[in-house]
Amino acid sequence: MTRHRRHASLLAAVLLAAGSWLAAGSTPAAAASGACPGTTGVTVVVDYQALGGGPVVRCAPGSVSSGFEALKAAGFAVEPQQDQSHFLCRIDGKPGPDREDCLGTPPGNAYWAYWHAERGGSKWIYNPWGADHKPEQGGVDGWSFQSGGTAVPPRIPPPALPPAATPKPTPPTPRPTATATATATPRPTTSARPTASGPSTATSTASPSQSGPASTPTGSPAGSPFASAVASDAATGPPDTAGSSASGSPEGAGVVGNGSDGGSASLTSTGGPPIGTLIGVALVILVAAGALSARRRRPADGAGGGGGG
Amino acid sequence: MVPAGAVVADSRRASITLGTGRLPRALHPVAWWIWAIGLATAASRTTNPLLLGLIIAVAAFVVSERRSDAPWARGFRGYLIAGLVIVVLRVVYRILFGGDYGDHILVTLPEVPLPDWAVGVSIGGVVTLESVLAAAYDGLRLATLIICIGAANVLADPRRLLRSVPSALYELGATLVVAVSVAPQLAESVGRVRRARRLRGGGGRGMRALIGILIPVLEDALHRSLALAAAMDSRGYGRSAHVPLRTRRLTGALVIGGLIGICVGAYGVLDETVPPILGLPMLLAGTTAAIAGFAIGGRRLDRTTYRPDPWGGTETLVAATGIAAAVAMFVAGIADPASLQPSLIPLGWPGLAPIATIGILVAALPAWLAPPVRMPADVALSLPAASAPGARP
Repeated sequence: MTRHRRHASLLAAVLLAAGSWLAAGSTPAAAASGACPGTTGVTVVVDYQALGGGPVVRCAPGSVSSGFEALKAAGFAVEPQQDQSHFLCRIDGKPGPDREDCLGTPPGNAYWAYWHAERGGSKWIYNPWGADHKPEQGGVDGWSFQSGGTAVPPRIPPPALPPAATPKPTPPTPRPTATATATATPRPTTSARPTASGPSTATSTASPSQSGPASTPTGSPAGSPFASAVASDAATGPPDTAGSSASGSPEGAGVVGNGSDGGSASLTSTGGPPIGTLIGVALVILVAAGALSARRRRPADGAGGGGGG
Repeated sequence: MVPAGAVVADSRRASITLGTGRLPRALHPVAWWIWAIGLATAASRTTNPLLLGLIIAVAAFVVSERRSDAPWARGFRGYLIAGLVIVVLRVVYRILFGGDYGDHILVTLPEVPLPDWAVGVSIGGVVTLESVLAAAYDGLRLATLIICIGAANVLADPRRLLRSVPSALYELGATLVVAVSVAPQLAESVGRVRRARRLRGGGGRGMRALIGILIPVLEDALHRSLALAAAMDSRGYGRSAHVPLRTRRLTGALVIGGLIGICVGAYGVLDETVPPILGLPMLLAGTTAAIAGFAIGGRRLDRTTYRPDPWGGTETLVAATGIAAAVAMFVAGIADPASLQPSLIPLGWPGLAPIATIGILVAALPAWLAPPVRMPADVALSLPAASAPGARP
């Protein structure tokens, strides 16, 4: 009975979180919450569409040299395709290895489409170029996963510029409370640190605890939305998003090479290859030694070509 | 005398044959080819270097155990060297043209600046460990395919394979037999012409010497082919006058239509954006039409084969081991696809996929299942003691 009750309470919490997240996501003002506060930097919108998880809005501060760099600076884990490393294959680990092995170019009905738009513009424009193109400063980059024939843009409109587009947005204090229940990127610290555009980059889930002192002024009024945002992110996104944002938030600056952190951890932190790899190498050496010894056991080939089948 | 020599040869071969009393014979060549194609299919589904290395080792093991000493059975080392060259070429190409995949930078080459419209293409620049590994894995996959086909070439006699060609492709098989037999004659003809030129005092290099060798060789080849065609025609090759025109047209239409259907179906299976009717259904329809064309076309020829190769249980077992390796790789791809493609971002060690490994090790069984090959020592032992010069210890 207690197990059922626990399940019921967990389900209720998830539904409440999802409901609040959905309600918040339906307002256009909330969608602009993760965007760049000024006219510098590139706002990045990633819509997972059928892969699970809704549109995520983040900011890539400073100048970026390509769409890849914009994604990495915004805190997403980017994986290009293996052979032609200028095709984008995975964002934050989606689509996973069961759907796409990233060895060849992704097919025409399951790929990441690249869109761009103006801040507050009315529609998304499909990019005729790839992720190597240098995005415009102050514009919006959109990534939307295609699952069919016609091109589908991200499901939210391009985020508009905040009303006071000055580098010191001290007036917009009423905004954080209205948009505290934002999409997967709540910004508890915009009112506390107006000059830094960094915290708006990767401030979901674990970040409130890490950008500690700055978050205390807004910690209390937005306490429950944080929990709801945490739950919604956990419910919608894989642990990868939490991990990537957690590693990206402390500095607030552009996060580059999130994959390398995880990669070097798996390659060198364990101190050596895992046991499976060693067994495999031993097996290959064993069979090859068998082949060599069989070759040496044969009588000399100088007896000529007799026998020939 | 002979008994001592026989004991020596027997103990040398004891580790190769399974038990005693298995007579050496040549396995049906199609069985070896099915085994090799099964291994090649398994190799094409993965880029895991452990699995690919295991496939290469298994192929080399079976070849070294069951290779005969015929002239056509030499040269497996050439396939291994070709595989190595492929891997090296892939890595060099990737270092020069696409080395910026991943984050573990090994070295930074000087970059050649390219105009703006060539964005995405880079010559030189950063070289990362992930890009070198990606090129090495992909090159290793192609090298494994070539080594598997090389193993089939070394284990199965190509002439006996051509005898197993279906009757509908009979003319094609005859053409291939002639080509395979004539190619060594071409090399001998070139040697003869060069010797004649040297004897007449005409040597030298360059275009004149090349033309001086090429023309006589071509003329010689033309004469030989005309003589061979006349001889084959006088023996009745290529006659099909008693077959009605309608049957011939039907056979041709079925075979060509079937092959076109197979092409379209293969494309439809690989490309996922075409309607599904053009995929697997078209492939099956094309295969059925082609097989029907072969069957109808084969009925017209009353052709007998002199001493055909038997297909026994051993052949079925050998072919089944190759198919088992391919099936195991497919199953592993469904159960755990990440183990077949070791991840490069983030960089990780290639893991051991248990199902695929067991399937590949099963494909090593023909080293014992297949009958032993006839060694030259067998021929010496079968002769009477008085006339065998090497029989005395």
